[in-house]
Amino acid sequence: MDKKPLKTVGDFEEEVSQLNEKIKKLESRLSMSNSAFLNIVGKSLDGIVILDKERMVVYTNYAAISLFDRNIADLLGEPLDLVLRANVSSEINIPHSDRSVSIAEVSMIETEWNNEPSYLVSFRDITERKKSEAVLTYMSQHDYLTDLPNRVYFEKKMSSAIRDAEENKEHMALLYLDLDNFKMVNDTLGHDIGDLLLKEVSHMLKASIRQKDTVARLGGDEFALILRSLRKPDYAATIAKSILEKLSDPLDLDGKKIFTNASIGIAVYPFGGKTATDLIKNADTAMYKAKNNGRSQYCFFSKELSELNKENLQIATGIRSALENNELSLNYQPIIDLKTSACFGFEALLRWNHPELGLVPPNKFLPAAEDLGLMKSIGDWVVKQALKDYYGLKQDNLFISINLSVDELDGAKVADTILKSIKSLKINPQNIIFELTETSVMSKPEDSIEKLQQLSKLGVQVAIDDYGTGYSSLSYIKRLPVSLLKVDKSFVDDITPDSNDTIIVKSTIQLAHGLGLKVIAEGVESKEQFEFLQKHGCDYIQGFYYAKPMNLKALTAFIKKG
Amino acid sequence: MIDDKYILRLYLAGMNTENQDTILDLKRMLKEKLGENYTLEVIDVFDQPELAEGDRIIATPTAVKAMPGPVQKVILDFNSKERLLMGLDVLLDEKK
Repeated sequence: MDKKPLKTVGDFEEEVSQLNEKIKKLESRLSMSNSAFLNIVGKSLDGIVILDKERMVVYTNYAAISLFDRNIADLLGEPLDLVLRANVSSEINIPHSDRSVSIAEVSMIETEWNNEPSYLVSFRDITERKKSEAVLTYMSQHDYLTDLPNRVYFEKKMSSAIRDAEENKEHMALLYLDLDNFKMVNDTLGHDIGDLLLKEVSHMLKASIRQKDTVARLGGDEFALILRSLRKPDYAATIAKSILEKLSDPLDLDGKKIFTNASIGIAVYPFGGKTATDLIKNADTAMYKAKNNGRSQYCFFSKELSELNKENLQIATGIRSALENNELSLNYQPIIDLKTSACFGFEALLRWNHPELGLVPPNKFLPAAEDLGLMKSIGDWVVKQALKDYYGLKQDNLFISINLSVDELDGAKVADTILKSIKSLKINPQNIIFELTETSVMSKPEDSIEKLQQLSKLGVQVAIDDYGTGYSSLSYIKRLPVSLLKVDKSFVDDITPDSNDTIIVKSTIQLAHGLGLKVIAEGVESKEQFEFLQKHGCDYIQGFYYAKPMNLKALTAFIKKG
Repeated sequence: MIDDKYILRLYLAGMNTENQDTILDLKRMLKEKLGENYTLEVIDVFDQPELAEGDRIIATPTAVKAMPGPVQKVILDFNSKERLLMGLDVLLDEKK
């Protein structure tokens, strides 16, 4: 056997020195790792806590101490009192002695501490983030001016109110409120006063409802109220009435007395709509109905209202394209000379053949056309078409009567069309009668005189239509370049065998003749009416008794027949 | 049984892992001797120097017995558990 040579002292010294070197290296690495730990974990902004396998705290960093706001001695060696699961993060509230609460996001992972299995729990303080989130959420759901819920929040509230009503088999009501004269206040007194008005109204509305109800500002001067769990829908009317009453008192804004009033539309779940969208739409419809009924009114939504609205909507959307699509047409109703019993002329009547609704009478679509500013182009078309038809008939001894409104005479368009047509078709202007309603003439009397004078300069005749329905002043009629009065159908209707109510027709005929005007009676439907008018010297009649409105082809045949 | 509740303050410099281990040891010893009958407050002199000033701390770690009176102070030795315990005994037995 080989014997190992004995180690010399020098060898041992060498080994010891090598070992020392190793220990130094290890110590330095340990100290480096310690300081790294303290720098990274100790100074971390997130709270870090180590739990042993019994889930007692064995280490905590500064951030955790300050988050819990407790002395380190109260944390170390104690359980955390939190239900935590490894690898699942959760949000916790940490109450403090000053009654404030911190919110922290907590997560826990398994780790090792002093060679023992343990847990690392980290806490991220998200209190500030949560606070700003809450502020942002509030701001996104409230109106900055009135601090009321805005449309977004209102829609949420609506959904939950409907759910509750559905579950509890209760009624809930939606009130749509629109200030009637807000725009005027804003335009005349300025936005500052307008804003004050909105604030005042908001306060009043808030004070008018119960705790469980909601008031929201939907924009501009529109407010909505959600009334929850109503035993009787009538309660909605009670609230609406009390709001309108409160608004009838003048508001004192910045030393100025402001008179305001509102219109309220009410839709009650379930018969006024079952979804938020339907209820909102229907309350809005009812609100417009209330507005049309006059100021300071409330109105419940009903099914008839909805049908009406649907038709109105179809009319309003369809009238724009009616001209382009050739859906407009003219019918003609003969006018008879009572002395000779011969045809005197015919009135052009506008018709709209709606692709779905069928024939729509002018009184239904003209208001919509007026709202949309289409009156001038429609009027222009009517004049052009009527004169073209008249030219085609080659009946120089007959008159053609065409309806116009005073507004159409604004600007040169219609007058220009008339002049061009008369010239190019070589029509005798004396044969053309333009009918203007009494109401439209009398709305701006001075203005009308000037416009009618311009019209009569073209050589055409002017008739006052629907006479008796407006508020005519004789002094104006005298000054107007008018040659005919058309007595409204409603007065002719009063002519019955046993009626004493015929005085208006009689005196109108006398008055017209006194002023040198001829009289046309409209809507003559019976023999009695015909004979009465003949007896009292009426010049012309128009109505079903003699002839209904007809298309151009039928009119041609009618004239030929004599 | 000791009826009076002990209120102890422990002054440390920094909250490194060794110091935290010592706090754990100290709490274990206090529980053995006093049960729940004590309150321990740990003060980091880096963090709250004004408190150290108030208790006239000249070195760390120092344990202060605030209650029951009279106020007593002892500088502890954290390097051995034995000597830590001795220091604690001095503090707690003072009253006897």
